[in-house]
Amino acid sequence: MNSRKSTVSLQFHMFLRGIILIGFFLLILKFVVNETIHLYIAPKMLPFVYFAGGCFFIIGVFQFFKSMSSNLAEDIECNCGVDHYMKGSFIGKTIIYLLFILPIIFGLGFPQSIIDSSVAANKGIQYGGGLYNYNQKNSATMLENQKYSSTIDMNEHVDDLEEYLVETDQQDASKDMAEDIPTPLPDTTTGEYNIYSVYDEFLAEYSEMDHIEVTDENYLDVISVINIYLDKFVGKTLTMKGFVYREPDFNEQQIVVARFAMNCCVADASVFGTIVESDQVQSYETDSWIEVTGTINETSYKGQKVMRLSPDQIVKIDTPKDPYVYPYY
Amino acid sequence: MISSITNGMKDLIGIVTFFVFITLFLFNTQLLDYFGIFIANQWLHVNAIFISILLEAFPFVLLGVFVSALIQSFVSEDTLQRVLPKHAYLGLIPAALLGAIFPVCECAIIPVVRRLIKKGMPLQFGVVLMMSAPILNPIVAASTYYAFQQDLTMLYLRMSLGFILSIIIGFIMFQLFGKTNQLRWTKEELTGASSIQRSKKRNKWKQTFYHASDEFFDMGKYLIFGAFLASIVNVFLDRTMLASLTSNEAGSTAIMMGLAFILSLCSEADAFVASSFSNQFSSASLLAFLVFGPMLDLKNVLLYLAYFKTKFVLILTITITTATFCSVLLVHIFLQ
Repeated sequence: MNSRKSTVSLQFHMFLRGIILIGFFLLILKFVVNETIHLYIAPKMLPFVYFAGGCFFIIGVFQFFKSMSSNLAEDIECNCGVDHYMKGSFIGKTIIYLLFILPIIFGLGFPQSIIDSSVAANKGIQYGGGLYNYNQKNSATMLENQKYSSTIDMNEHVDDLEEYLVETDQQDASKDMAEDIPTPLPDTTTGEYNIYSVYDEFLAEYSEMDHIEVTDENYLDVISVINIYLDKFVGKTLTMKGFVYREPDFNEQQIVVARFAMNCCVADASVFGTIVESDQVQSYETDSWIEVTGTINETSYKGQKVMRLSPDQIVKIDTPKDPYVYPYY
Repeated sequence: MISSITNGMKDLIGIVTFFVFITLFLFNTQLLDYFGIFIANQWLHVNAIFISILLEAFPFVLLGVFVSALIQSFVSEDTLQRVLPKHAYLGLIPAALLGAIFPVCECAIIPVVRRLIKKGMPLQFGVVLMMSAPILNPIVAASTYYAFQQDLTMLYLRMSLGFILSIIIGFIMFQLFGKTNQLRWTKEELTGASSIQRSKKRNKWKQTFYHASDEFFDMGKYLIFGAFLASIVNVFLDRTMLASLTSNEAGSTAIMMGLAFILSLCSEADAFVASSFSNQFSSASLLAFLVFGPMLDLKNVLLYLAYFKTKFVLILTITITTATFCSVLLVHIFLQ
């Protein structure tokens, strides 16, 4: 290969790559600056995104200035197995660079959207805040110290397969013990309900209130605990926010007030909903945001006993700045 | 003369690209309005999920790429040879346990493993590491714990099955490929590899930057393509109807594995998605989702293809799929 020509070609690739990296930096910077980054990434992932932004900026600027230098080819020649010289046809290269450029253009240029009922319909709504075994399941909200100890616990298990089996046996044993705890689930074929202690704390906290205010922070806790101990909450009043969703088999008096819960990114968001039943709900359009105050009742939907809200008051609200809720664990 | 014109063109391309980025950065969606472009809501959702997957994956890709570049610059072949287990089969177990220590998911481990193999680590250890690291990992264990709190057997099964499967798959790949080189080598690399020329002393940190950047572009294209396909599936696939497709165990296991493949979720978050299917699918098929996804998904396969020979990736894909499918059905029989 003609060495001068290769240097020139290398300079161009470095130049373009530097610009693309700075483009990714701009993308992240823009989301951070106009505070829309939480529409894409859960708060706990933010440090990683900042790290990526920093990397993009540093490497981008580095490449940009390096591309101006003249003795490039000699400088980076090494046997590292990475494709320093890009191969392929002109069209191939163009497509590859477009692949990198397009997300930046899409991200910067397109209006930012909040996933709504059309996505919810495809994902399927979780009634009762349960992630696993319907009502039995916590919404991944836990006290920090418990999380910590359990993580250590599990690391030990990883090292010792024997312990798995022992532990599994213990699980089975404790399942028997948990048998007499009242469960709101009609058909309980599987599952062990021995981890109620966390909810007992929430139960103690919330069952004393006559009126429960559901916020973004306690959304998953409250919804879970109410659905596990539904009997203890019937008759209390509750205020919650969400967007309107309608199942295909709903009648005119029924809507769902739903929220998306995001664990890491939008791709893994799941939908949690509460059924609201009244003859005044018809006028609220699907996907509009409302705040409902009402009395907790129970109902059954698709064979599952869930909370139902009989609304006293429904207020139309603006789409919140932060439309998603995040499990804090 | 001609070359100076093309050079001018090239500079122009770069400058125009940069100008477009800056304009979009400053002027939001007003540009779309200005040109009267309207985009359907669903495609905006696709876009949001696409960007979201990328933002989630980039930090870990960069991390993996940096670690890989650091290994390239600072760990010599000799050092690696000294610490590696000598026995081809017994070494599989420490390799799987090593995966448990790395708190990284699939995006980050692949470049690292590629680098280690290039530095002389036997292929089968690399395969085991790639299989085990995304499953046997403290963060994944924690998220599985929270998603399946009421039934921790799922956590134990996921971890132990991930451990066993990674060893089995490593073993099978060793039987099939032995000590052959399955990395993609380009022509330049081969010529470079054959001529033993010690490069002169250069700034190692500078080198690290070059490697990191080039490797990012090397694998980034696959990641972006995979993320785009996954985001389309995410928006348009009706998950509620999946369960109605089949009634037997093998069928639902296959469906959950297929879902894990096309959704391409990060192993650190997939447990929550799996648990949301618990009302429609059996525990065994959820287990298949949790074990199969981290080892093999759309995004992953494309990353494997970036680094390994096509035939190798094909056989690896078949091996992972068959091994997971059979073992999950076995677990299902035991669970009953």
